[in-house]
Amino acid sequence: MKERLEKLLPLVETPARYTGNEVNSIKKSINEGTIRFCMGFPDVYEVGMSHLGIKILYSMLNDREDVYCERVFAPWTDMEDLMRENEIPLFSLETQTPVSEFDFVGFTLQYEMSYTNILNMLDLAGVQIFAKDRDERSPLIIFGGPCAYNPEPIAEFADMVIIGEGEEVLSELMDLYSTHKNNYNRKSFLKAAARIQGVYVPEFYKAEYNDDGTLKRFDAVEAEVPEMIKKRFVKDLDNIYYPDNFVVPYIEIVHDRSLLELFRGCTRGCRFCQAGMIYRPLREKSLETLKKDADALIESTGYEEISLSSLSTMDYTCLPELTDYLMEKYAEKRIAVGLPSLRIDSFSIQTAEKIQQVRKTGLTFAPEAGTQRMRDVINKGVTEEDLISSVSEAFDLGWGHVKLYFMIGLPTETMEDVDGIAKLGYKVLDKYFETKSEKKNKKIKVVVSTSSFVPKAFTPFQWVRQDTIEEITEKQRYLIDNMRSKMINYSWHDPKVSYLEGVFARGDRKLAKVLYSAFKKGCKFDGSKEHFNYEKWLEAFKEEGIDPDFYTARERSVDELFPWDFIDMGVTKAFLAKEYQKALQGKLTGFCKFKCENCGFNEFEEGWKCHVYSKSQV
Amino acid sequence: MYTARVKFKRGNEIRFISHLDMQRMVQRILRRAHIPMKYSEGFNPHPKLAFAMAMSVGMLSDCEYFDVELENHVDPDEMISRINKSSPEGFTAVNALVTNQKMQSLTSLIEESEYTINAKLLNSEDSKKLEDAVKTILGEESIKYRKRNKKGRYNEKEIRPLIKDLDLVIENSKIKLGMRLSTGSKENLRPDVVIGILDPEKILFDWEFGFLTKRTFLGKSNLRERI
Ligand code: SF4
Repeated sequence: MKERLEKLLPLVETPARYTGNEVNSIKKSINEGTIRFCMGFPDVYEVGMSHLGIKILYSMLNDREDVYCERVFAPWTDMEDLMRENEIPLFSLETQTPVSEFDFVGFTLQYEMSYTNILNMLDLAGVQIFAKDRDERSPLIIFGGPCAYNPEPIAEFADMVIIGEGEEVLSELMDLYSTHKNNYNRKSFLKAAARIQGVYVPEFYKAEYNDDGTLKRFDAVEAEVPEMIKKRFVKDLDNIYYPDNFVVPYIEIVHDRSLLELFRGCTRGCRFCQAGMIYRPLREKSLETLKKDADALIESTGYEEISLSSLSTMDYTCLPELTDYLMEKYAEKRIAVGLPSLRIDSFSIQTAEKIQQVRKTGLTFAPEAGTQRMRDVINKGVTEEDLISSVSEAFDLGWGHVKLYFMIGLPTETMEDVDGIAKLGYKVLDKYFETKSEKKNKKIKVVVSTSSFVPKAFTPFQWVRQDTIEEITEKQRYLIDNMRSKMINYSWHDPKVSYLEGVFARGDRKLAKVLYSAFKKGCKFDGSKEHFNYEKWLEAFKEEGIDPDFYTARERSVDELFPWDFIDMGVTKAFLAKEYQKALQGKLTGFCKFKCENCGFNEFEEGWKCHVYSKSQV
Repeated sequence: MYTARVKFKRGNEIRFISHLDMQRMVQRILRRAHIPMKYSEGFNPHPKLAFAMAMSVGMLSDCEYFDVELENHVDPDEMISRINKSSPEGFTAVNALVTNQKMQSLTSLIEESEYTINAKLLNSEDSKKLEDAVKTILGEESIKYRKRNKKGRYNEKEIRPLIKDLDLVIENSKIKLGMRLSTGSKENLRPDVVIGILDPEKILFDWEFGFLTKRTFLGKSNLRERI
């Protein structure tokens, strides 16, 4: 295999995507008893290697003596063509072992538009695409990650789906497998696995539909498996495994830096945000743990930047202490501290000012919507005044590059709300011209970026109708026409991609055949402009007799049974419904870090009580 | 201020990375090895690191150099051992020199390099043809090479003087081709250009088998290694 590969590598773009052997990649001797796990990411190396979740799981699994975890990414199409031509099956980076020879193959589902890549990778590996066709020799295919919270569109391709955080479940699965390995029987292993909290085995469940296509019932069809799948979450982040090193790629990846995870969960309660609901409850790591993690990562990777990575990083209770520590220790060594996105307030600007002593980059804010009314609907507790005074402070301090993130297509949105985005862009620009500070930057660039809202399962907006492609296009056109200034740079997302995302985000099992058909037609890398082919997708829907509008264009009734309702993710459907009603009335819900809003989590699991912080702690 | 000049090898494990990747990799090696690099001033400080010559993707080498500016003096032997402890497989520092004197820049020192190229004959009966092709080149007084420039127009360039020596050994169908070519900022000739001239119709070499190129020496025409 190695030799055959070496011949192909000079012929492809960026061959180092396929060679492995990076600093901190794991080499292990393999024996009879070794459990072999292949961690897959259904996108190209540069994207997959940037993802924190698989870094954690890769290191954690390899920390066990009885497991060897390797990596595999989607080969770019030039490499895929050569592999198919030369009959080279999909292989792992560490040992160039065919993926079909592993005990487990895991895929993380980060975005819906990567689903066809999974099918394509299974096919390249020579593994049966549908779970029902697999046998005793097939590897066990596991899915996990945020999109797994509505696993139904991809359920028929999975042997197991992990709902929730992976650390504990995967360890338990490995323990279980080691007792089954010598006397392995697929069915009895899956049955045992289905009893682990957080493991969903789709083939043990059956969906029945009403004539109108909505879900009628969803039942377990195998004895002794749970009716409801309860998600898993790690209770104490100070005592859970966190890697002391990361694999350091040779080629430049999307997030080419160390990532420090400060906390999980986010309790701001933005109503469009799936992460904010599914990753509850809030669990912070202690300052001591973070200092230790940061030191270890900086030492072992040689990276020039460490990024403080969490959902709303600025909310971390000990952020000032943490940034002080990192600056004191590492500024002199020119190791920069990165913040993914700023909260819109003065504290954030001060923090950015402090840490950007080392390397100055742009500032990113996410007001999300253009008018106060719209921001109240989505529960984004930010005012225009907050934004303007924050950018004004930033301009005073010498920043000239400001990025503003918005969403269009939000529920109840009117053209007035869209217009508000353009107006805000100009107000920010005006502020720059009003700036008198000596530090004022000579160059100004305001980047306004809109993504198109996609209603997601397990959010207060899981009932709403999604904007059509035409509606989104009209709004984008309006913004293009109304932000003509050369100093404002407007960027937007392809509405066709958002539309398909919407179909799968709230999809059901019937979509499996559409995915299969799209894959057969050659759909892959649907997230990339170069490869996305909308016509092929429409053909696939048509041939399978499925109307994609069924998933996006309906306002769902309050009592509709959803395909994902069999998953208990902690926050109750009743809470989500209440939030939806409050949204329509434009009523805000507070930040539950300080006052519990009764989302249901405190009743979710015995022994769990959310920590409520007093405001003086912050 | 001190400068370290380091000689290193690039092995099979890392031969598929680009020049830019190589620069990034070395920076990170030096950081892991706690080498006190000096940084540039300004909004985006970066270490002052300079390579003698870019290496093309796929090429191996026994002899490459980089210079890096240091905040303070480091013992060369210790530097080598610390670098090698922090390096991925395939990267080996061989030698170092640390000085506070001004050194002539690496790029200006490089004049020519030696390459060893391993390849295969398409038909073992063709060895004579290849030998003749080598002799022809060496016998020519002038060789013009047509090359498309960035604007898409063709440029003609005299390259014969840049070919210092060729040396061909054929065993069965295995080829070992030695080349000594001008290298550096003034005149530079890449070995694949010579391969193209030897076999313009792609009928002698087994092109599918490919060429494994190793730079065995990078230095001045006095044939002495820099450090
Ligand atoms: S139970 Fe209360 S404090 Fe805990 S996540 Fe829900 S709303 Fe927040």
